[in-house]
Amino acid sequence: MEHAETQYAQSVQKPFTALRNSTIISFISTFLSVSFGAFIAYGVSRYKVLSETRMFQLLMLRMVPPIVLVGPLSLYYTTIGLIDSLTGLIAIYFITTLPYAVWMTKSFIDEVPIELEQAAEIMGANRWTIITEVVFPVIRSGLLATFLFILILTWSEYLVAFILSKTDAVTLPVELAKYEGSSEGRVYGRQAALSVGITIPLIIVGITIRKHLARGFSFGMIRK
Amino acid sequence: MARSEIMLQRTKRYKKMVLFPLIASIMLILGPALLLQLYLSFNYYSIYSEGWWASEWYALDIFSEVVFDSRFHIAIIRSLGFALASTVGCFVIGFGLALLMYKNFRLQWFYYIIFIIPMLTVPIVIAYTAEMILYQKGPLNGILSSIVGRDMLIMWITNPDIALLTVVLMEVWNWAPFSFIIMMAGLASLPKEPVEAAQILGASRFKIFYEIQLPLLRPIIVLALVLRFLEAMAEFPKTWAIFQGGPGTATETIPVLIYLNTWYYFDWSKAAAMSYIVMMMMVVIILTAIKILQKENKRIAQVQAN
Repeated sequence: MEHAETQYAQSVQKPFTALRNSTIISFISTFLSVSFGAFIAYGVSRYKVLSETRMFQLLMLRMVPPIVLVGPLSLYYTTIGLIDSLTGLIAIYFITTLPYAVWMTKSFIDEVPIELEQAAEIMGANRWTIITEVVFPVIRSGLLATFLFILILTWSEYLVAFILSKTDAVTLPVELAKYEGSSEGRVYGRQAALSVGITIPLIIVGITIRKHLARGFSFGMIRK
Repeated sequence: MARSEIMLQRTKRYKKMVLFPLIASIMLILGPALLLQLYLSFNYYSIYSEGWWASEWYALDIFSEVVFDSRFHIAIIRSLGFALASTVGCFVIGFGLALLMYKNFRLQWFYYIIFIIPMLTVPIVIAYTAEMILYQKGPLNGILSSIVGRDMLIMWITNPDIALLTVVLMEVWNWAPFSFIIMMAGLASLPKEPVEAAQILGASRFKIFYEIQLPLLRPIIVLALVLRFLEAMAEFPKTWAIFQGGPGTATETIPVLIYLNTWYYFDWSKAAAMSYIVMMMMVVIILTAIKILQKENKRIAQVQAN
């Protein structure tokens, strides 16, 4: 009976819950990733808190295929009660998008002339003030581009969300797979409608930051 | 204390502060998962066990089963082949478009936007939409038929010989824009003087491309290829949503095989052992890739500084 209930719950289509989940998860994890990433990037750019080799090793968080870890991760999440929760998904997205955040924001911070900070320092600003009131405002369009770029990645991610969610934390790409049931076949109309609904915002966001896409996808190595 | 010493201490404090969230989240989330993966590859866990902590010690049996599993070998080869084919496909199309597009012309921005749209589409949406288009009597075969002039009934989805090619085509459609935008940026940043000098000396366009532009672009080409290859190794939504590894085992790439073993055969331990081997393999590949990128990154910075 319990099994049947889970089956039923899994097949119920709740596009608005999915929309809410997707929005919460992608915005919060992206915000965390970019804000922590930007502070790390500043440290790397100005004080070499991570050596060049370490910076490249950071890319591993992104480059190792997620499939190799999601199985054990789902067991671990089940054990500590994070399975099917927004927090669990936010945490994993935060980790996997951090390399993009650090590298991309670093590429913007590198372009800020250091004289600006020196001037602020002479006027008595401490490091916190220099970062938040001199450096970040100067690169704010870059920070916004990084934010939107990572938002695209998180919003369209499928595998991790598919495995770590059951009913409560289902995101939009996972929701889409529910429009294919064994009893009623494919619900083409609704699936297509939802597809368009998921994709249009991404295309608009992507076109807005088109000048920064190359920089994003190349981890800031290409800067034009 | 000397001023420089104070600065050094402050830097250390800053380092600790900013790296804390990164290290903490890795240790709290990835660390246990990695340990669990290792544990599962040595202890047999099935859904009938009380829990993963109650699984039985199998020593190296699970590993040896996986190492001699021919299905696993084929999946590795298939994944490498898929990644290679789609990387080359993306690159040829992306670079070709970039070469046609990089000089300013009217409505350039418009075509640029059109060409980047596939990249911004959610992969799972591409999969479901492609499934609608690729039916034997679906729109794609219809269009092909009207071009060729006779009935084309290619079984894109159900023919095991074509299925993997279909996934490659979807991947290329999805990610050719990636190569396109990177090569556009690369071509735009090339210095103009060498090309102009060669033109004055009477070199042919082909020669200019082959002997001046291509060598200058090399680091960026390497970047585009390496990053795409690594992403293609992890491709899952398009392969899974349409094919689930089928028909037969025709599209069973590494991610699909690991997924099937975990959530269809409930053979968690086998999947964990596979994952472990794949992870080690990928780490070697990635470290090599990183070394290449690290070297090329300096050259890219030089080209971009011009």
